[in-house]
Amino acid sequence: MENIITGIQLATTPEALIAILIGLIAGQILGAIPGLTASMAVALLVPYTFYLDPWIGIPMLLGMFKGSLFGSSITAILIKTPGTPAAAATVLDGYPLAQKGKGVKAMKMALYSSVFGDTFSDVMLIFAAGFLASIALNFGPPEYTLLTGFSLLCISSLTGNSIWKGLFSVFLGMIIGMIGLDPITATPRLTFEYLELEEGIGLIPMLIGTLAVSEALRQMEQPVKKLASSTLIFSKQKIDNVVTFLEFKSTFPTIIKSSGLGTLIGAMPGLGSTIAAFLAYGEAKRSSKKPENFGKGSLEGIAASESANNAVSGSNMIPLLAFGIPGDIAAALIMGAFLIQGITLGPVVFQDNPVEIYAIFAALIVANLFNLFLGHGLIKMCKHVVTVPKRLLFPAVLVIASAGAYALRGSLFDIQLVFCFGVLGYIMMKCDIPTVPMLIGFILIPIFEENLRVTLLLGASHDLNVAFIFTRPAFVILFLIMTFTSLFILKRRKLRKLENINN
Amino acid sequence: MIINKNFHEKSLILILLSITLFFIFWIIPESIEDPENFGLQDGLNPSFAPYLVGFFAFFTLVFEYVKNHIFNPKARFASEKISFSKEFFYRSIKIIFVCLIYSFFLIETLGFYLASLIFITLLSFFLGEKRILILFFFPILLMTVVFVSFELGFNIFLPEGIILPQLSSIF
Amino acid sequence: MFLKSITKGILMFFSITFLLISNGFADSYPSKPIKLIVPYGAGGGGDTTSRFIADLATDILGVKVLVENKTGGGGTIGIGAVAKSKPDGYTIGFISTSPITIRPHFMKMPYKPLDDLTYLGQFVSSPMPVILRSDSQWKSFEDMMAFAKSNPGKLRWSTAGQKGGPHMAMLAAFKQEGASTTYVPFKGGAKALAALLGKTIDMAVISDFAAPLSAGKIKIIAESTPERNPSAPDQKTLAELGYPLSPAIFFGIAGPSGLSKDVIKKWDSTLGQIMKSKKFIDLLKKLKATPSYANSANFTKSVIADYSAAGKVLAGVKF
Repeated sequence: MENIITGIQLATTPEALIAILIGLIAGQILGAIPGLTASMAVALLVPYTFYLDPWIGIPMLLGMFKGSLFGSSITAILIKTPGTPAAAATVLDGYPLAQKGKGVKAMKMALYSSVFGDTFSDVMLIFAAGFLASIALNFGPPEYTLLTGFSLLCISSLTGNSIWKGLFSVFLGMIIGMIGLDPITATPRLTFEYLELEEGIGLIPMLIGTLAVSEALRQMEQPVKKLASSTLIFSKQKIDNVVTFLEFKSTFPTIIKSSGLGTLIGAMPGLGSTIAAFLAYGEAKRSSKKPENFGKGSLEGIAASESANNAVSGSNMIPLLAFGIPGDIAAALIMGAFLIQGITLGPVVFQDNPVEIYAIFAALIVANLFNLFLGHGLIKMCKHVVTVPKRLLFPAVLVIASAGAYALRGSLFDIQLVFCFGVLGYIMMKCDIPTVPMLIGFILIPIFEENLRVTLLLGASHDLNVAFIFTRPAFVILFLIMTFTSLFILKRRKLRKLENINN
Repeated sequence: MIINKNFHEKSLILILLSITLFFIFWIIPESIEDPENFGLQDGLNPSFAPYLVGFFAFFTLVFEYVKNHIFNPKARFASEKISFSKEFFYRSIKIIFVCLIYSFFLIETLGFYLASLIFITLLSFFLGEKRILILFFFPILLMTVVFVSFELGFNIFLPEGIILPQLSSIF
Repeated sequence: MFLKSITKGILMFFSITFLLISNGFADSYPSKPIKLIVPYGAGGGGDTTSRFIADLATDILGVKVLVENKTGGGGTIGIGAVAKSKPDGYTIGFISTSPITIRPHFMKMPYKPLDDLTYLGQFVSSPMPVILRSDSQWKSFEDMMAFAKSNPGKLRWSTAGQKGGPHMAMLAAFKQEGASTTYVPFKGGAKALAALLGKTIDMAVISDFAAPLSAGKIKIIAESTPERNPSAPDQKTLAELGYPLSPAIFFGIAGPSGLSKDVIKKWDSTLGQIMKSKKFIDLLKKLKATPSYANSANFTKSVIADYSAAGKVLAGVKF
């Protein structure tokens, strides 16, 4: 108890608060620059935290993560450019809303659900880390296969009017996702002996290209007269600029569910916030009462993806705290930062460094509060940035996107990829083929294929062969949950249809 | 120019179908070598998943074609038309061309900053920005912001290009 | 008017760039910023350590040492870029075991490790223990090997990187005993560790073992590098157990071949100073890595020795 109080006191010293603020501001700005992900910025900052106390340096890094996840949703909503991949699902509903003049409403929804998702997962991290981590550890390759396979099935029908086009788009994404080294034998596939391709196509160039660059190309072909105006017009009506209590209440179940889903996915090594956002979005659409609104500016959609991707930021520390396993690059960096401070993360950290760890917990919560206030400021600022005329804005977006794409791997090839995907996305747009299923196929197929093949490999080494998956309790439970919820939703849909007919 | 939507859809499917077949029968065998012996038991070959996805795509396209264009050729989009404007088409070709020149050629030779200055200025001019002051200062302002945040802030170095370092070694 | 302003802008830009580039042109090395290429992603293998080295080297050399991440091909793209760069000492790279002494024996590489690189110095070697869950049915390495021999394909195991040093070392050991096993590839040591704790696999060879070991979740039964693990000094190395390959996991710095003697000398003294600095030793202690310094000459010797030793063993492996 004493430790907890000392920890809270440490986290609320002026130095610590200022460090959190700096981290958040830097994170929000960085997040808004396409290509510059939070993990990258943190990697660059980690060496400097050596000179700071742990309860100052580490909250600064964590603040950066939180800030960047929200910052990236702003550009996703306003100019269809997700600053980090995690906000790609936010584009789906945020951008249409902004086009209707309700950009501020969309951004505020994103802010509230981000902060809620953050807080939810932080609370889970503080109180249920051990429990959640032991659940997550039971998720091995068979469960990952089931989870990603099921999501591929559910989400691939996400957008677009015609089914075959959506499917073709998913398949295209899958093929692009297979470029690079084979996950099991590590032999090159579809690379044509081009060394740059062996690492695979980067998610960031692909996202920026298909979403932002293709949209810029589409906008720039407009007649010259239209390009003199700014991209967005913000509605003056008050109702379009706030999230009303009723709206918040109606999206609240989605937020809770998505935060939970995000927390669980964050606790599993190797999935990450982008996947969490898409899964939560798909799940929200699947179980929504108004699935037809998704993709046209549904507040539920924004709430789902934003709360889920932010929930990952707290919960990817769960396996770190419970077992010392970093779940993704972000967590690995944080672990490095802790190590540099002389703190070995793992279950013993509560005995060895209780004060520091409680201080960091307190700082997490403080960071969420600050994020809420700073976010409002950022929304106001960004409203002015997008009033730049289109003919200047889009060239600028293209240049910044190139710089961001280059930064991650230091490769010119990635800049070229950005524009190639821009042209591909533009052509697809012209043919009415939705691009988002392609992204989902691209993101999920590597995980799905790798785990499927590892499962088969494991099966060969078991007496039961592949049927060994049914001896794994996690697999059976997951399988049952998926079957029953699907049946339940189908039945409810049918009932509603019958009611409609009877009425 | 006005195109019948049915015709548009039909030709789209046929084009995609030929790309898919090209992918299955040429690209996969050409670029994936299945290893003979890696000491792994019972794993799938590296080319299995690409083939599977390729065939799925093939069947989706064939199914769509048979269902809507052979059995039911007139029903779906019979009345819908798509208008196609040559003016827009040439414009977008031009813009894409400028973008590709920028990304494949300019950055590599001139370096990121110089290439971007030229790119933004030219593109905004082409898109109808005629105010000289803005054409001059906006790109410089933007590149300064990029320079300060990337190079000074994060020590990320954008490509130098081939020409600038050579010039600097002469001086 | 329009063209004029553009040329003006370009001229101004040129002059600014020149000011930035020409930080002064003294004759002695180093006189301008040095680029340190890290062949792994930000935050990935060795990235943190190399940023530290860059930071400390900046203080010693008096010019900025700047880290540039160039990832791809399991480190080969970055190292290839170093090998191809101008041998003036202003482009150097961070290197580690697998792309230098292991993979070139059976994979296509954009460089020849012994011909295209100048080895400037080694600063860290990292232990790479063979670990089991602490509740595992096997007590020792021999127990495990006996199981693997009598149950073909039933031993499931993994390492941090496929076709890396530890993977090859264990494969060689199993081959010598005539045991067939199931290697389960995971991307990175963290996932392999999670799979080990989640009972998907039963043995792993990874370097991030500190946290679960102190929590009592795992036990060390052998060490795959030439030196015994400081956390478990009783456990033998693979070489001591009589197996042919136990590659050292080293981290060092290299430049393109043909670096001048001045450059090599400068780095010898710089790395020597870094190795003595308290900050760096503190960092390594916390990272559970062993400081092991070798100057350019010794490092080159050990790389050649490791390379040929691995070559002998791996010559017979078929891929």
